[in-house]
Amino acid sequence: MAVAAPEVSVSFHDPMRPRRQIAFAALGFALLIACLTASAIGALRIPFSHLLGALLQRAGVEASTHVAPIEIAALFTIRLPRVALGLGAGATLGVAGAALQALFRNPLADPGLIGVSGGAACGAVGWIVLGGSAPAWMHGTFATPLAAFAAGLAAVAGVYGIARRGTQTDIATLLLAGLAMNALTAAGVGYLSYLGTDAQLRALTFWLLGGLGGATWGEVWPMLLVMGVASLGLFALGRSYDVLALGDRTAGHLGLSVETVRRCTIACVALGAGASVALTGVIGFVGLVAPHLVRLLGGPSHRFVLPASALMGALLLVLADLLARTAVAPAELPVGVVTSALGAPFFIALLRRRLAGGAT
Amino acid sequence: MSARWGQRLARSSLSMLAAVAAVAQAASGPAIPAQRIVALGGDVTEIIYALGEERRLVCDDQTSLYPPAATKLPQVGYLRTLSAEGVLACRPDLIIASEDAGPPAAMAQLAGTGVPLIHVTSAHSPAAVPAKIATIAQALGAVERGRALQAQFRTRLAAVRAQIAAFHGHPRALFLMAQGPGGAMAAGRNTAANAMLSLAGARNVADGFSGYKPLTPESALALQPDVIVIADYALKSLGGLDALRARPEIASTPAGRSGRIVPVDALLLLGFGPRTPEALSDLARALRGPDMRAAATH
Amino acid sequence: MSAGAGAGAGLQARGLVLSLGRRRLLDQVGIDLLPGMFTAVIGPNGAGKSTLVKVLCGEITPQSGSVMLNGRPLAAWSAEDLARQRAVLPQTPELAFSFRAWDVVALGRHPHRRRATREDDHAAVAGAMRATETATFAQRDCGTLSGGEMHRTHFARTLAQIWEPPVEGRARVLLLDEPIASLDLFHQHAILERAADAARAGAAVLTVLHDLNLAAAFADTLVVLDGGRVEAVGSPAEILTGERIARIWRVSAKVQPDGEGKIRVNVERSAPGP
Repeated sequence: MAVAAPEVSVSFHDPMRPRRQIAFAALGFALLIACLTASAIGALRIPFSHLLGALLQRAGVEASTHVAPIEIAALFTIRLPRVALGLGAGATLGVAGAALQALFRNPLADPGLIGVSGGAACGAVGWIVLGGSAPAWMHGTFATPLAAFAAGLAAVAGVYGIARRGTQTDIATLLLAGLAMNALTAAGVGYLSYLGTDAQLRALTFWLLGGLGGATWGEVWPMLLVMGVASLGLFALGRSYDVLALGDRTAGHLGLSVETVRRCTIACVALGAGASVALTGVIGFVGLVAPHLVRLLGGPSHRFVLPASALMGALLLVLADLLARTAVAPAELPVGVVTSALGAPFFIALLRRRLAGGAT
Repeated sequence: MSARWGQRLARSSLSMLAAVAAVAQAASGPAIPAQRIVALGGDVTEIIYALGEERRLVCDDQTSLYPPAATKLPQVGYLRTLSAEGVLACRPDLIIASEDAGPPAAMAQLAGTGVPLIHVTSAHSPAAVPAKIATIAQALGAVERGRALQAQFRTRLAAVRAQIAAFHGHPRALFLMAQGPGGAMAAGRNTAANAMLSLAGARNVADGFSGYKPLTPESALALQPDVIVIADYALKSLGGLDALRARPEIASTPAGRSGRIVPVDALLLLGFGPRTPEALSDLARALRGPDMRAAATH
Repeated sequence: MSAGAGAGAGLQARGLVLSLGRRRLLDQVGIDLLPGMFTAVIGPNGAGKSTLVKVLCGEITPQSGSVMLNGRPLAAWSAEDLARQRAVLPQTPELAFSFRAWDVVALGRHPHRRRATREDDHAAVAGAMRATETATFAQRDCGTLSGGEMHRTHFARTLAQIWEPPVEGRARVLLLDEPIASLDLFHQHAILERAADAARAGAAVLTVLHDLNLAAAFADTLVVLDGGRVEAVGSPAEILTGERIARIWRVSAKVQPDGEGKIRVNVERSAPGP
């Protein structure tokens, strides 16, 4: 361009880079500690020292401390699937939340906005109440999660269809359509709850409040796969989200295919959050809070925010679940209650800060 | 699929472990009977005490209220919303659970841990009780005492049923359970309450629907029961006898007007355990009121 | 003159017609943006200036007419190819998250991510920020910048976007939609000065302006738009006459040469009515 300009010595070194690297490392480390702690703590007392011993015994190696079979069984069939589910679901919700905040250009967006959790809830409750008359081969542990997953995807497809105008989607309409879908599915859940018998009511309330209990490897593995694929898809869009922050028009001028980014985001969020909700029920606020905390730590660059939100979301959910199962042991609090109880005050504080004029 | 592979790996590892343990045990002599038993279900607990095996019981659940000693044991949670780990925290070597125990996911997890899990039927009928006794006695290795308990039960039940058969009339009754979202819930067909009412020689006026449904003033007008049987904790939550009679849906019925309201211990009446014959006898008498008791001279 | 300017280089629009319902927003509008030329589009409110910019950058497709960039219709270029040749500064640029100023300017390099090296990008961003005097707050959070500073940062972004010298036959195009609205006098002049520099370096620059004096001072060509139609095209001296200003802008003004080869428009205050 050879535009004449005064020679100013400018520092272009990025001061945030070391911060981001430290934040990343710290999150990873914190997550590791949280997972170990969550594996060690529970209604069944397993001493920390037994963790390694249990691992060795499972692998068939002789260890100095003999770990009781019941501890090994509890660890591998109950606790580890649960921690794995918390990790996967928390990470997926975190990334999905960050992606939707980028898409809607609003730091108050949450994965539930596009209707996936409402739809999944409707699907799960529908199956619990109405599925009794379905043929025998349809029943089994996969039935409710699959119904929830399918319904979640259908709800998002519906929302997207409403907001579509030719080949474009209007963001404001997308938001409103999501709200409408959530209202519709809430009505559906309400009606189905009324129809339900006592036992069904208990089952669906349990599901709606959100919980990581009852996770078995057979359910967790496929869902982790789906969640992983969806999250990786969102990671790949990191740079695009930065450009999107300039507004749809400018992003288009910079060569970004805004509609493609939108579609990919919605599809990946539907898959990931759908899989998460299908197994865990509705868990709120993780997708809202994780990206926020991460942006406070390392700035808004999405190539940092997306993976960091995964770590932070996983950390938050694993810790929330730990609290849920130890606060009123041997009974359990639904984890959705814990995340809401902690997340709502945080959200309110966020809103007030926003009103006071600070952008996050 | 990777899921089944993962599950198979977990299962085979555990069964390998169990096999090793079993071989070790067999090599050391006859199997040691379970010493740390967790009972899930009020009826299960009651039967274990009736068999005299309560020394081996370490934990039970919140619905295990009889005998009173059972409430002093550590409780692992409510029968239908258990957490697998909560049960395992008692380090049981045997779990005896009513089929009503749940949620299903937690029971599946418990089954997967390798701790022996025995299911006891939860059919809504006194005829199920001997089956329950048989299952539990077998699991505890107390088969002889089990048979004796069964015989006693059958004798008492036959006596009560004969007694009831001799009563006159079939009172029109309505069974109310705890507060649901729409108020007191009435028991329709396919409920334990319905079964007990029929056995007591009463006619359940609410047999037009299945399961539990809220009782509205309109439906109460239509049903017109002569006697209302109500779970005692429901009566308490509704504010007592007078408060109940004052409610519009109750006051419009013959039962409300005449004051023929029978509070019952719901867990006892609907638990279908060893005390069922007595509970049935008391219910039958209460349904017919003081004037009918004169007829029960057998 | 610019290097590599072949035939058809720059932006040409012919016969643009755009209607909204019964209203004609653009009526047979044609415009030529040649490399090295600084064109200003002027006209009263509602004349269709912003609409014209939107059509020129491909956001809106006119009902009839064509827009050619460097010899090919807009639709024939891929979005990324377009982005490598023409940069647009909208009237109200947005920024949803508070990036650093440097990051915002670096976003302008997005279309080049597969072709340029990191050093090229760095040079473009640094150069653009120096040119717009935004380098002093390169590391600051955009949330802390004033409106004017933010606007200059966005302008730097557009410069960084087309920083590279053009490929053979392809001129760079810069479209600015009212770029000085929120700036103080110093910065108004600074931005227009930089835009003029870009034109001198070979880009085809178009800017929408309200201020007739600034248009006269910086632009080589003026295009007068009124009611969706091109009223006149020419040099400032040809276009800005008292008669035309009175007819189109409905204010009376005196036009005088300012002694430095440019003309000056003095708007007379309208006399109070009877």
